[in-house]
Amino acid sequence: MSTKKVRDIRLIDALAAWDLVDLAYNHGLHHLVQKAMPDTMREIRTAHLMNQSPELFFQCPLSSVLAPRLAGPQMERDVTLLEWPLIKHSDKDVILSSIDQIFDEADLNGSLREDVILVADEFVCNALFNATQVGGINNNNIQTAIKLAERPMRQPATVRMGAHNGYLALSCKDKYGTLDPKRFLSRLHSCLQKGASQSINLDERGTAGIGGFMVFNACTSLYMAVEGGTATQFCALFPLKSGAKERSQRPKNLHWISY
Amino acid sequence: MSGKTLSLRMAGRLSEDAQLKAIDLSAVDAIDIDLNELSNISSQGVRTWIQWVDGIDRKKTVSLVNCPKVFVNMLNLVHDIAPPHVKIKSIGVPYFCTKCGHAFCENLELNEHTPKPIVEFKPCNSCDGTAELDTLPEKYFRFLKERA
Repeated sequence: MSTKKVRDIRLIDALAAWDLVDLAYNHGLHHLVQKAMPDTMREIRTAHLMNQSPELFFQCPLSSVLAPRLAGPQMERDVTLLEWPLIKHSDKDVILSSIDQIFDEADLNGSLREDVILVADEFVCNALFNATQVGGINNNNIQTAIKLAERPMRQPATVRMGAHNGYLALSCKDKYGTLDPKRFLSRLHSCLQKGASQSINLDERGTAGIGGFMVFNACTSLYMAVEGGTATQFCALFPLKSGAKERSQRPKNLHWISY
Repeated sequence: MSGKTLSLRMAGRLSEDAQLKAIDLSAVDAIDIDLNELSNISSQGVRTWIQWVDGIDRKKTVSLVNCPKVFVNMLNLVHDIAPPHVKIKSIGVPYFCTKCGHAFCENLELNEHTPKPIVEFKPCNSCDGTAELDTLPEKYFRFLKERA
């Protein structure tokens, strides 16, 4: 593939969320990895994988972030707890209920459940409403947008959840590739700089515009890849053993590629 | 209809299909909203909620009780989900047992005059371990300072 590209991997030292996003948004840095953390090497390996084999990241997102050295179809199967096609709006309830059920049955860290469901909800809504561009939800067209999203998507999206080696990962891939990463980073930057109350889109056409901020706030690493016109993949990572307090204190990692 | 209070209980996920504007508030003076069973709020749910709360006549008293962690977390991110005219009466305070991984919330009454001290540790209600406060107090209770 002609997608191999040398993109910067910047090691940063306990940088706060706003500074990190500022480096991505204003300085165009693609991989921001916190150094001196237990997971620093894994994050660097995932960054290399996204740069050198983006197609592998698209095909095997969970193993790419949970076990980048072993990433591939077999490892993807091994780490996957849930894989669900997302075809229409009513699938969202099924996916979120399945995640809930996994938390009940697999004895996973209870404090993580709400964050994972929040992220899944935002990923799914992005794939249903934004990626397909059937018309972003707004004040006036919400019921219309939901009706449109109840029609089967031309290209189903895929949601996966997996766990390995003390981490849980959630991914969502749509087959539209319409995400503008600079716009995504711009919204995230605005929420961190001005606050979500000042940034939320209450009146204009389009989405609320704070979903990316909520996702970034809930996870410890966020990965985003866009192959224009073909696919968008989001992935979020959560440490399994930590409580919410410890997770909120962890410095975050951010990765994005676009081609 | 002076003095008529409507008690609402919200449960499940607050997301794009929530139809809050369908709730008839015309004949009530006060609205008590119990959020104990609210499990998740999406970005679109935040927007729907803000528009609904903002549209409630300021002459009506709006009170929130049993605000769960998901609501308090969102309140600290998006202050407008509880504008100053909305009274927050009680919130859930999260605890996490590092021994068994069990997470639970304890209800905290918010009395503006006599704020109760926050308890850092509690017996885990799932094992014989000790659960600790699973949040940074300066972050979790930041909304109180901003509303003061």
